[in-house]
Amino acid sequence: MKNPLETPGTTIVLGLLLTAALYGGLRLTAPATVPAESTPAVEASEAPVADETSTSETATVETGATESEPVASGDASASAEAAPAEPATP
Amino acid sequence: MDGVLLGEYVLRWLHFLFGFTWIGLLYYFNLVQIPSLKNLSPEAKAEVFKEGSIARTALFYFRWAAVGTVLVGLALLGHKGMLVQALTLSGPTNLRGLGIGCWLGIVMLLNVWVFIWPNQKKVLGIIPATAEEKAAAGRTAMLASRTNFLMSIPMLFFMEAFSHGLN
Repeated sequence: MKNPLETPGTTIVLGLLLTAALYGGLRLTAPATVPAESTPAVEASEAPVADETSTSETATVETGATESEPVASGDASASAEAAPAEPATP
Repeated sequence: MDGVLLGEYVLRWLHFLFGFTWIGLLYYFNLVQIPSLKNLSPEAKAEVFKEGSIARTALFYFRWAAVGTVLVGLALLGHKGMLVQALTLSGPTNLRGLGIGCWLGIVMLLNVWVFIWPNQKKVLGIIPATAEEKAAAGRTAMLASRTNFLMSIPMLFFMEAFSHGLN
Protein backbone atom coordinates (compact mmCIF):
# COMPACT_ATOMS: atom_id res chain seq x y z
CA MET A 1 0.00 0.00 0.00
CA LYS A 2 1.23 3.47 -0.87
CA ASN A 3 2.29 5.68 2.03
CA PRO A 4 -0.28 8.52 2.27
CA LEU A 5 2.55 10.96 3.00
CA GLU A 6 3.93 10.45 -0.50
CA THR A 7 1.18 12.65 -1.96
CA PRO A 8 0.69 16.28 -0.85
CA GLY A 9 -3.10 15.99 -1.20
CA THR A 10 -3.47 13.06 1.19
CA THR A 11 -1.01 14.74 3.57
CA ILE A 12 -3.25 17.82 3.68
CA VAL A 13 -6.31 15.65 4.40
CA LEU A 14 -4.43 13.90 7.20
CA GLY A 15 -3.40 17.31 8.55
CA LEU A 16 -7.00 18.49 8.65
CA LEU A 17 -8.06 15.27 10.41
CA LEU A 18 -5.24 15.66 12.94
CA THR A 19 -6.36 19.25 13.57
CA ALA A 20 -9.93 18.11 14.22
CA ALA A 21 -8.76 15.29 16.50
CA LEU A 22 -6.51 17.54 18.57
CA TYR A 23 -9.16 20.25 18.83
CA GLY A 24 -11.74 17.66 19.88
CA GLY A 25 -9.35 16.32 22.49
CA LEU A 26 -8.71 19.81 23.81
CA ARG A 27 -12.44 20.51 24.07
CA LEU A 28 -13.16 17.19 25.81
CA THR A 29 -10.48 17.83 28.41
CA ALA A 30 -11.41 21.49 28.96
CA PRO A 31 -12.04 22.25 32.65
CA ALA A 32 -15.59 23.37 33.50
CA THR A 33 -15.74 27.12 34.09
CA VAL A 34 -18.88 27.10 36.27
CA PRO A 35 -19.52 24.41 38.92
CA ALA A 36 -22.69 22.45 38.16
CA GLU A 37 -24.20 22.87 41.65
CA SER A 38 -24.05 26.66 41.40
CA THR A 39 -25.79 26.90 38.02
CA PRO A 40 -28.80 29.17 38.56
CA ALA A 41 -32.27 27.74 38.03
CA VAL A 42 -33.62 30.94 36.55
CA GLU A 43 -33.68 31.45 32.81
CA ALA A 44 -30.73 33.33 31.47
CA SER A 45 -31.37 36.76 30.08
CA GLU A 46 -29.68 38.10 27.01
CA ALA A 47 -29.82 41.64 28.35
CA PRO A 48 -26.35 43.21 28.50
CA VAL A 49 -24.99 43.70 31.97
CA ALA A 50 -22.93 46.75 32.77
CA ASP A 51 -21.99 46.12 36.39
CA GLU A 52 -20.48 42.69 36.96
CA THR A 53 -20.45 43.02 40.76
CA SER A 54 -24.08 43.94 41.13
CA THR A 55 -25.03 41.19 38.66
CA SER A 56 -23.39 38.55 40.80
CA GLU A 57 -25.18 39.81 43.89
CA THR A 58 -28.52 39.82 42.11
CA ALA A 59 -28.06 36.32 40.81
CA THR A 60 -27.17 35.14 44.29
CA VAL A 61 -30.47 36.45 45.61
CA GLU A 62 -32.47 34.92 42.78
CA THR A 63 -31.01 31.45 43.10
CA GLY A 64 -30.96 31.43 46.86
CA ALA A 65 -27.29 30.61 46.95
CA THR A 66 -25.38 31.60 50.05
CA GLU A 67 -22.27 33.72 50.12
CA SER A 68 -20.16 30.61 50.47
CA GLU A 69 -21.52 29.39 47.13
CA PRO A 70 -20.69 32.09 44.64
CA VAL A 71 -22.65 31.83 41.42
CA ALA A 72 -20.18 33.25 39.01
CA SER A 73 -16.81 32.43 40.58
CA GLY A 74 -15.42 35.56 38.98
CA ASP A 75 -16.37 34.43 35.49
CA ALA A 76 -17.83 37.41 33.64
CA SER A 77 -19.62 35.30 31.01
CA ALA A 78 -21.28 33.16 33.69
CA SER A 79 -22.40 36.34 35.44
CA ALA A 80 -24.04 37.60 32.28
CA GLU A 81 -25.92 34.32 31.84
CA ALA A 82 -27.19 34.37 35.41
CA ALA A 83 -28.44 37.95 35.28
CA PRO A 84 -32.22 38.39 35.31
CA ALA A 85 -33.83 40.92 32.98
CA GLU A 86 -35.08 43.04 35.89
CA PRO A 87 -32.52 43.17 38.71
CA ALA A 88 -34.23 42.36 41.99
CA THR A 89 -33.82 44.69 44.93
CA PRO A 90 -31.93 42.94 47.71
CA MET B 1 3.66 52.32 24.95
CA ASP B 2 5.75 50.81 27.72
CA GLY B 3 8.88 48.74 27.23
CA VAL B 4 7.25 45.44 28.11
CA LEU B 5 4.58 45.86 25.46
CA LEU B 6 7.13 47.01 22.90
CA GLY B 7 9.22 43.91 23.65
CA GLU B 8 6.17 41.72 23.09
CA TYR B 9 5.43 43.33 19.73
CA VAL B 10 9.04 43.04 18.56
CA LEU B 11 9.27 39.38 19.61
CA ARG B 12 5.97 38.55 17.91
CA TRP B 13 7.11 40.35 14.77
CA LEU B 14 10.38 38.37 14.71
CA HIS B 15 8.45 35.16 15.40
CA PHE B 16 6.29 35.85 12.33
CA LEU B 17 9.28 36.75 10.14
CA PHE B 18 11.12 33.54 11.02
CA GLY B 19 7.91 31.50 10.96
CA PHE B 20 6.78 32.63 7.52
CA THR B 21 10.26 31.93 6.14
CA TRP B 22 10.30 28.44 7.67
CA ILE B 23 6.78 27.34 6.81
CA GLY B 24 6.87 29.08 3.43
CA LEU B 25 9.96 27.09 2.44
CA LEU B 26 8.42 23.91 3.90
CA TYR B 27 5.43 24.38 1.61
CA TYR B 28 7.71 25.21 -1.32
CA PHE B 29 9.59 21.92 -0.79
CA ASN B 30 6.45 19.82 -0.40
CA LEU B 31 4.22 21.41 -3.02
CA VAL B 32 6.79 22.49 -5.63
CA GLN B 33 10.31 21.09 -5.35
CA ILE B 34 9.77 17.45 -4.33
CA PRO B 35 7.01 16.74 -6.91
CA SER B 36 9.02 18.51 -9.63
CA LEU B 37 12.28 16.66 -8.93
CA LYS B 38 10.61 13.32 -9.73
CA ASN B 39 10.60 14.26 -13.39
CA LEU B 40 14.29 15.20 -13.59
CA SER B 41 17.13 13.04 -14.88
CA PRO B 42 20.00 12.16 -12.48
CA GLU B 43 22.21 14.71 -14.26
CA ALA B 44 19.64 17.45 -13.84
CA LYS B 45 19.18 16.51 -10.16
CA ALA B 46 22.94 16.80 -9.63
CA GLU B 47 22.74 20.28 -11.12
CA VAL B 48 19.85 21.21 -8.81
CA PHE B 49 21.78 20.09 -5.72
CA LYS B 50 25.23 21.47 -6.55
CA GLU B 51 26.93 24.04 -4.35
CA GLY B 52 25.29 27.47 -4.59
CA SER B 53 22.08 26.00 -6.05
CA ILE B 54 18.55 27.12 -5.25
CA ALA B 55 17.91 23.89 -3.32
CA ARG B 56 20.93 24.37 -1.04
CA THR B 57 20.12 28.03 -0.40
CA ALA B 58 16.51 27.18 0.37
CA LEU B 59 17.60 24.45 2.79
CA PHE B 60 19.94 26.89 4.57
CA TYR B 61 17.15 29.41 5.24
CA PHE B 62 14.71 26.57 6.00
CA ARG B 63 16.69 25.00 8.84
CA TRP B 64 17.86 28.25 10.43
CA ALA B 65 14.45 29.88 10.18
CA ALA B 66 13.12 26.86 12.06
CA VAL B 67 15.58 27.54 14.89
CA GLY B 68 14.72 31.24 14.95
CA THR B 69 10.97 30.61 14.95
CA VAL B 70 11.01 28.26 17.93
CA LEU B 71 13.55 30.21 19.99
CA VAL B 72 11.78 33.55 19.51
CA GLY B 73 8.40 31.89 20.11
CA LEU B 74 9.59 30.47 23.43
CA ALA B 75 11.09 33.85 24.33
CA LEU B 76 7.76 35.53 23.56
CA LEU B 77 5.90 33.11 25.82
CA GLY B 78 8.48 33.63 28.55
CA HIS B 79 8.22 37.40 28.15
CA LYS B 80 4.45 37.13 28.67
CA GLY B 81 4.85 34.76 31.65
CA MET B 82 3.03 31.94 29.85
CA LEU B 83 5.88 29.56 29.03
CA VAL B 84 5.43 26.98 31.79
CA GLN B 85 1.64 26.84 31.52
CA ALA B 86 1.77 26.50 27.74
CA LEU B 87 4.41 23.77 27.70
CA THR B 88 2.74 21.81 30.50
CA LEU B 89 -0.65 22.21 28.77
CA SER B 90 -2.17 23.63 31.93
CA GLY B 91 -4.20 26.72 32.67
CA PRO B 92 -7.09 28.09 30.61
CA THR B 93 -8.16 26.43 27.35
CA ASN B 94 -6.64 29.08 25.09
CA LEU B 95 -3.24 28.62 26.74
CA ARG B 96 -3.50 24.83 26.49
CA GLY B 97 -4.37 25.21 22.83
CA LEU B 98 -1.38 27.46 22.31
CA GLY B 99 0.72 24.85 24.11
CA ILE B 100 -0.36 22.17 21.62
CA GLY B 101 0.80 24.49 18.83
CA CYS B 102 4.11 24.99 20.64
CA TRP B 103 4.76 21.28 21.00
CA LEU B 104 3.93 20.64 17.36
CA GLY B 105 6.43 23.37 16.42
CA ILE B 106 9.12 21.93 18.70
CA VAL B 107 8.66 18.42 17.26
CA MET B 108 8.86 19.93 13.76
CA LEU B 109 12.13 21.69 14.64
CA LEU B 110 13.60 18.42 15.95
CA ASN B 111 12.42 16.71 12.78
CA VAL B 112 14.33 19.26 10.70
CA TRP B 113 17.62 18.80 12.52
CA VAL B 114 17.42 15.09 13.43
CA PHE B 115 15.93 13.60 10.23
CA ILE B 116 15.66 16.06 7.35
CA TRP B 117 19.01 17.84 7.37
CA PRO B 118 21.30 14.82 8.12
CA ASN B 119 19.66 12.89 5.28
CA GLN B 120 19.73 15.88 2.95
CA LYS B 121 23.48 16.13 3.54
CA LYS B 122 23.83 12.65 2.02
CA VAL B 123 21.60 13.56 -0.91
CA LEU B 124 23.54 16.77 -1.53
CA GLY B 125 26.88 14.96 -1.31
CA ILE B 126 28.07 16.88 1.76
CA ILE B 127 28.38 13.47 3.47
CA PRO B 128 29.83 10.73 1.21
CA ALA B 129 27.22 8.08 0.35
CA THR B 130 26.62 5.40 -2.28
CA ALA B 131 23.82 5.75 -4.80
CA GLU B 132 21.64 3.36 -2.76
CA GLU B 133 22.32 5.27 0.44
CA LYS B 134 21.48 8.54 -1.30
CA ALA B 135 18.20 7.13 -2.57
CA ALA B 136 17.28 5.83 0.90
CA ALA B 137 18.30 9.12 2.54
CA GLY B 138 16.26 11.06 0.01
CA ARG B 139 13.16 9.03 0.77
CA THR B 140 13.65 9.40 4.55
CA ALA B 141 14.12 13.16 4.19
CA MET B 142 11.04 13.40 1.98
CA LEU B 143 8.84 11.49 4.44
CA ALA B 144 10.18 13.55 7.36
CA SER B 145 9.44 16.74 5.45
CA ARG B 146 5.93 15.49 4.62
CA THR B 147 5.42 14.73 8.32
CA ASN B 148 6.31 18.34 9.07
CA PHE B 149 3.95 19.48 6.30
CA LEU B 150 1.20 17.42 7.97
CA MET B 151 1.95 18.74 11.48
CA SER B 152 2.14 22.34 10.25
CA ILE B 153 -1.61 22.29 9.51
CA PRO B 154 -2.76 21.81 13.14
CA MET B 155 0.26 23.79 14.39
CA LEU B 156 -0.83 26.91 12.49
CA PHE B 157 -4.44 26.46 13.61
CA PHE B 158 -3.52 26.19 17.29
CA MET B 159 -1.04 29.07 17.04
CA GLU B 160 -3.34 31.56 15.37
CA ALA B 161 -6.74 30.57 16.74
CA PHE B 162 -5.81 30.52 20.41
CA SER B 163 -3.69 33.67 20.11
CA HIS B 164 -6.57 35.57 18.53
CA GLY B 165 -9.62 35.00 20.65
CA LEU B 166 -10.62 31.32 20.47
CA ASN B 167 -11.24 30.02 24.00
